[in-house]
Amino acid sequence: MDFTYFSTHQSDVATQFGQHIELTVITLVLAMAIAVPVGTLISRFPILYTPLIALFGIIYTIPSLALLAFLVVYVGIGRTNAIIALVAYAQFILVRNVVVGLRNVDPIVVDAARGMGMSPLQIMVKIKYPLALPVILGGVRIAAVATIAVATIAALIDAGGLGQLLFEGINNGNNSEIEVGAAAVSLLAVLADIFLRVVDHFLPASRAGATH
Amino acid sequence: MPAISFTEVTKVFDAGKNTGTDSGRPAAVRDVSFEVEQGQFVVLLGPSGCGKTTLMRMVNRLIEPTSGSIDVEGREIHDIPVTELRRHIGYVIQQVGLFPHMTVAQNIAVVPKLLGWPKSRTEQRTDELLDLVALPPAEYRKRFPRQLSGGQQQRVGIARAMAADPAIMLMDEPFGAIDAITRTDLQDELLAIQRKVSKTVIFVTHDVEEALRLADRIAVMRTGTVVQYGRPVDLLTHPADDFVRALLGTNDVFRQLSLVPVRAIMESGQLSAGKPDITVQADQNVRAALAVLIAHDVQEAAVVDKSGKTIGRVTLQRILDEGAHEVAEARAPDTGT
Repeated sequence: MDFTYFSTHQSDVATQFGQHIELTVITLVLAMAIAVPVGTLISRFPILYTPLIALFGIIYTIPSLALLAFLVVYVGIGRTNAIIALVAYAQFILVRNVVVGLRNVDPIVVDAARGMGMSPLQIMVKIKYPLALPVILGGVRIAAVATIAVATIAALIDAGGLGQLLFEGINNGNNSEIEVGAAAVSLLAVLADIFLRVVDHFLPASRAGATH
Repeated sequence: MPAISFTEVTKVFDAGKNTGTDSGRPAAVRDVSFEVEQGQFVVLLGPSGCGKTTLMRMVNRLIEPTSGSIDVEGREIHDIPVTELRRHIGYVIQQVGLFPHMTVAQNIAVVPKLLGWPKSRTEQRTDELLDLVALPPAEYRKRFPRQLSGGQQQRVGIARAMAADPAIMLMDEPFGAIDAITRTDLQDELLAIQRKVSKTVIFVTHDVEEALRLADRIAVMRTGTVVQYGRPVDLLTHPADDFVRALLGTNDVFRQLSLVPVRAIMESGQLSAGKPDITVQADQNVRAALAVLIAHDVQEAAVVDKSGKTIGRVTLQRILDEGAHEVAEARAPDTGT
């Protein structure tokens, strides 16, 4: 392994590392903002499950490069394009986990909550979401790693991030740059995974052993 | 004013929804009317599918009656916002349903929190209730439900239901999933609690022993109707029909005799002259009186009140007739009295 590129371009690598994190975080926040309401809607009206999951499944199977290129036609190149594509990809994983998480909440517990006089909103906020959270967070963890991977390719449409190092390195025949880029992306993926596992560990529902 | 009154309550579950057919379904609860007095422990007793849980769950509107009305403390349940109604009725279920992501203290605090109690009052109440259900607060307050045994979980379930000091408690087979020894302990403790705080309780069970132990009044249910409503002893001595007779196991002569006081079957008059002076207390149960007669190998004994005054007599023949006539009837109907 040759990391000489890193010693000569530390600030570039740091900037791109930061861009990659930013891209991932923005994507996950927006993706959750869509997936939680959609998943909640599906758990309320199960008939929606098959068509919506099929739709997200189809999007999920589109090769990332094809989707990014396709979106260029409508939104041009740049970060917006990448974020739209990444949010769309994440839906399949996130919505499914929100639905499964909510569905796995013990109906007995919900019955007790109703019987004690909680309103439907209180049951959602105080009981169902907290109990579904470990499963939802599991989805976020998978989606984060997938987003970090696909975001690398987004460098091709000028979205920034660590992918730049890889493509630049390939174009210039700079092996050290390629290796630094690859190592940095891998490191980011591993760190994201560890971080979200730690968060999960501190959730009340996980600590109580409420889910398996 | 009765604590709860049921007036011609009927529940028919939507046939299409539940069975996928449009053929009519029999009513789960049919035309039930009875009243529960303040502070009484009423057991709804019957086999599974008789409608007892459905009837109970209509009180806090977890199931809506199809027709008829239910009044709680003089108000029709639909005149009260449903969440408010439920917050003022304790609710305990067989599977307990503790919130697994909350500690014991947090579980108990749920309804006080919904009612907007100040924190200090809630905390004080939580400790008080944990003491009441024999779980030392310092040790159990911060535990999660998973760290408790089934019996302990149900103690917390009962404490949680009593948190906001509701006048009425609904209990759906609360001890049904608990081993026999713990169940007896919990029944004893529930009776002790009930003597202290005197709630109006509606308690659903299919366990006859449990019903006889706990109830002030028993409503025996079958296929959606209340076939008999009365004191346990009345049900045992005067079952309304063969179903009640079979359900209560009136065949078990000794249990039946042990629930009937001597006072109920004594005859007037003195013992025949020359008989040994055997006495039994009027408040003793007939089974104990029978033991006295057998032990002394006599046919009759004098019945005395607390002051020792003779107030009548009890005969072996009468015990056999009265205590066991249901058995005779059940076995050979034409020889019944």
